[in-house]
This record gives sequence, structure tokens and C-alpha cells, in this order.
Amino acid sequence: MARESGAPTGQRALLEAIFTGRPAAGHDPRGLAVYRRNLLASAARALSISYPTVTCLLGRDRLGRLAGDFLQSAGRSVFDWGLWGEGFPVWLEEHSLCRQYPYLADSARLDWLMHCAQRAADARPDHASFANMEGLASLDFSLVAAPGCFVLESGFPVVAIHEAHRQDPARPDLGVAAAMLEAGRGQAALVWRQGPRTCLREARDEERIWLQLLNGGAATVAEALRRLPADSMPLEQWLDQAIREQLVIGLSHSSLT
Amino acid sequence: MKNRVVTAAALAAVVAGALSVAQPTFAGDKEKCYGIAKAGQNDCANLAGTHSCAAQSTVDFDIGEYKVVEAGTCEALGGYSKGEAQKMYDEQQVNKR
Amino acid sequence: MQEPQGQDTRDAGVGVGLRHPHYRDALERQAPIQFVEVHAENFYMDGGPALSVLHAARERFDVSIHATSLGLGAETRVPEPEIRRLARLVEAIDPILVSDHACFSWSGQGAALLHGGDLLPIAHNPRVLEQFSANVDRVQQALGRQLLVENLSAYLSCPDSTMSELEFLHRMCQRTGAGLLLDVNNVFVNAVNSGGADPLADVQGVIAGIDGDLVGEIHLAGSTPQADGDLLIDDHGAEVPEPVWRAYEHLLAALGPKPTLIEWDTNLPSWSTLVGQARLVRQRMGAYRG
Repeated sequence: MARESGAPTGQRALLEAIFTGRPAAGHDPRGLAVYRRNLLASAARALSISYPTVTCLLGRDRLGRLAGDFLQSAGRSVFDWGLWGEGFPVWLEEHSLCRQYPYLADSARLDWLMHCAQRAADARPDHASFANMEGLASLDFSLVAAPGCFVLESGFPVVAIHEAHRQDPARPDLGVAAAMLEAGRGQAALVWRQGPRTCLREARDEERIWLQLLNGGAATVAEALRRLPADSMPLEQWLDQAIREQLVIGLSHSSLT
Repeated sequence: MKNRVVTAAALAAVVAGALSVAQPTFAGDKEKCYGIAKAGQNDCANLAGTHSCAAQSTVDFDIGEYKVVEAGTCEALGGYSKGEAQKMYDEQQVNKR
Repeated sequence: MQEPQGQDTRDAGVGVGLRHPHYRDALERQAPIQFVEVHAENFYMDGGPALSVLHAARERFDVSIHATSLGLGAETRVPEPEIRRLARLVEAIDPILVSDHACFSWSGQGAALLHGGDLLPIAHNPRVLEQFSANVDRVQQALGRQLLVENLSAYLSCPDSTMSELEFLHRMCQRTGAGLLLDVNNVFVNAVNSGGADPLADVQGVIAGIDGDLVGEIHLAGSTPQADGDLLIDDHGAEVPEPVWRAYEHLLAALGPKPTLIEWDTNLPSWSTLVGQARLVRQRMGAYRG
């Protein structure tokens, strides 16, 4: 295969022609068009599955066009379409659409967190690990979070927006979300997996210290108690709820491992 | 509240109560999974035929398959479309006279 | 290169591609099929409901794992992590068959890696044969089992080819111990798109040259003519067309029964229509079982 300095040849040239839509020497434009259309359709499909709320917000047509623009800008360096598009929220943030609809980027961040939570490794609640608690002399243990557990802080009501579309994607009831948007209310979104099901709810201010404990912001229960903000939920109350909703699935202590 | 003493023994009682009502669901509960699994994103068919990919139900939340509104819900939720922004501007101009 | 164990095709099963809208039907309804085939990458996640569905399907059916992204014909080595992803899934599911395509999909390494997310045509010549065989060998070593390689439907031809795709695949199989996944629809689509007067005759010409011992699986599918062009698109979006059935019968007569899959990916029908296509495969197999 002839190699000219600089210009890509062979397989690279074909790939770049498909990504850019520019003609490639020696290749039938009809055939190139077939591959390019498949690339764009696959990109649109991939984003519509990874970003279902954003797809509802924008509509499938606009999402499809954005997918093409994003592909042009970001390229594709992963082998699995399910892993493609992690950078979409940041890219979207710079897009003119975000000036009209400034909540789009955070809605996209939440979609991606939910997408990743659904793909996270399974973990059974470890009831036996709780049983050891009684014998512990100190509170130098930490809590094991459910798979996919993550908190997203947003200046927009991202949980309300997501829930409205999740309950009825075709005709979402946007009343609550619109009122919150109007009032400038933000929400912190808490994402986790309960068995196979990806869960979402608003994280409340008074449980922030405990969620930090789950997300590695505090090392142990004892440390979280030392830094406890005045308006926090009591640990007993929060832990009771967190175990019931399988947000906390176990306990880990250096002496237990 | 900050000085309230929390002990492992007290927590253990709470945990025992919570565990007695928590009904763990595992990813192994197979009958539940087909309703909530997302569609695959990889394919070996060419999507460039006469069927647009929009005709396929590819997006889903917990409830499974559905068709997304083509126009999108942004406008209904808030923010301003170019048309709306232009209209508001025009109205302001009229009011100024 | 090591000679992996051939896949057993004496008890040829009939299967269908398992796609998302059919998960419930596949897990709850009876179907006269022996196996389902899934795209490997759709189950590369660490856990969660999709992977659970596949494990549940595995309890009802044999599973065939069909990879779509390795791009074995690339100019450089397939990245090790990608091979490991496939190996992890194969380990977890214990499929009856594992396959990918006679194509390339990506180019470059590290930050310069560009993956096209598609099955792109390769030149069939000794240099590409060398690279392709090395990649197949590495995959087979990692899996500890034979890989089947599928012939391609292609919308571009590569001017650097010095042999036919079939000759390329035969030589690759001889070097690596890999098997063939013969996609009859792909042969048909290529025959139509190359503009020959009698596509079915062209397909039968290709089939006549196949070494039957190498064939580990057969794919059947439908295709769709472009609305705004003159190409036939391999969209797996329709029933198996009559010429592909004729070619399949020809194959059965020549090779005997082989595990056969109905692939349907776009414009999906009901589960019962899909299973109906599998029933037609079984009828034809029965007629040629001797």
C-alpha cells in the first residue's frame, strides 16, 4: 500500500472519510454514504439509550442531529457504543441549546449516572456484616454503599425533570418541575441500584454527611459523627431508612476483613 | 444533638429492625430484569436502510418500550425558543411606543 | 499456531437473535429453538439487569456470542482489554459458539484510536491475512476455544485484494484453526450489489467453493433496498427472502445440517413471527437430514 507522508492511507483514510463525510480517493461515494449513515444512526441510537431524559427533552430529531455534531467533535475511541458519550454533558454545556434550556447539561449528567448505575457490578446486601456490629467497641467502621451509588448536586430540579419523563415519557406531567425551575430551585440527585433496579430520589440536606460517608468523603462513622453539621438527621434514623431502601448494603471494618 | 452519644450497640438494634423488614432484591431476580434492562446499543446490521432508526423503540425507563415525542418537552418545561424570544422582544417594542 | 478444538455441529440447532423487545417472550414462552445469539458488546457491563436477562436465557437455551467490534482485520493488534472483555463474557456464559466478522473497525492507538462502530471491508491479500490470522490466534488463545469468523456484506471494494474473500477465509482458518460463520444473506447482498445478472447463481457459485468442514454456523436474514439508491442494505430488517432460502437449501444438500440462526435486528417483528422463521429453518433441515 502506497504511503504518502502526512495524509492517512488505507484503513485510516476510509475511517476518516466515514467520520467526516468527505470523499475518499478510490472509494465509491454510494458505499461511503451507506457507512456514514449507519455511523450517524448508531450514534443517535446510542445516545438515545444512554441519555433517555435528554432525548425526551429535545425530541428524537434534535437529539439525532446533536449526536452527529457530538460525534464529529468527540470522535469515538471506545469499542462498545454503550460506553460512548461520557463527554456528552460537558459538550452540551457549551452548546447554544443550553442557553435556552440551561438544565440540559445537568439532566444529561444524571442520565449518564443512571446509565452507569445500571451497568455496575451486582452486590448482594451483606446482612452478616451488620451482625458483627454489636461486638464492635468503637464506631471505626464504614458503610458499604449500593452499586452505582452517587450524588449529583445541581442548581436545577433534575430529579423532578427526570421523574416526570420516567413516569410518562410520551406525555410527562411537567407541572412540578416547571414550577421548581421557575422558582430557581435546585436539587441534589441520589442514584443507586436496588438489586437490578436503578433508583433515584432527591438527597436531602440533613443527610448530606451520611451520603458523604457512602461516597468516600468521610472514612468512618466515627469521623462523620465528629464533623456532624447541626441540622443533620440522627444516624440511627438515617441508617434505618438507608438499609430499608438498600442504599447501605453492608458494613466494613478493618477488624472484620 | 451533636453531643448525643451514638454507640455500636444502639446502631445494632436499629440495623436489626431495618433488616427484619428489608426485602433484598438481587440482580438475580430474573423475572424482574427484562422489564428494566436497557436496549443493546451495538449491532451488526446496517441501520441505513429504509427503516429509520427512529422507528425502533430504543429508549426506555423502567416501564419498557415507548415512543419519544418527536418535538421534545423542553418548550413545555421552560426556557425560551428563538421564536418565543423574538415574540417577547416584539411585544416589548410595541409596549414602549 | 495452536489448533483449537472444532465446534461440534453434528446436532445442528436452530436459533434466533435475541433482541431487547423480545426479552420477556424469550424467557416466558415456549419456542422450538435450541439457541439464541446475542451481540457480545451488549453484555460487557459489570452487572445489572441486562446481564441477568442473558443468564436467565442461558438457563432456557444454548447461547451463541456474536462479537461485532474486535475488527480483526485491523493493521495493528486488537487491544488486550477488548479481548479480555470478550473472554470474561464467554467465561460467564459458556456459549456453544463464539464469533466475529471478517472486517476491520478501528485504527490507531491510545488517544489516536478511532473506532467506526461498524464492520468495514478489508483487502484480501497475504499481508492482511497475516495480521488477521495473528489477531484471531490471540483471541482464540485468550478464549481457550475456537472462534468463528463471518463473511461480510460490503458496500465498498478494496483495490488491494489479490484473492476472493472465501479464499482469504479458508487460508485464515487453515492457519489458525478458526471456523467459518457463513452468512448466506451477506453473500446474496454482495451478489445483488455487484450488479450481476443472476445473483442466485453467483451465490451458488460461492457456496460451491466452500469447505464444509470449516463451517460452524450459518446466518440467514433479510435485507432492504435503499429508498433513495440502488443498493441492497443488509439491515436484518425483513423475512428471509426466497433466493436466500434457495441458497440455504443448496447448502444443506452440499454440507448437511449446521447450526443456523435467523438474524433480525431492525424493524423487529413479533417474537412469534421470528420463531416462525426458525421453524422454516427446522423444516428445511429435516428435509435434508437424510
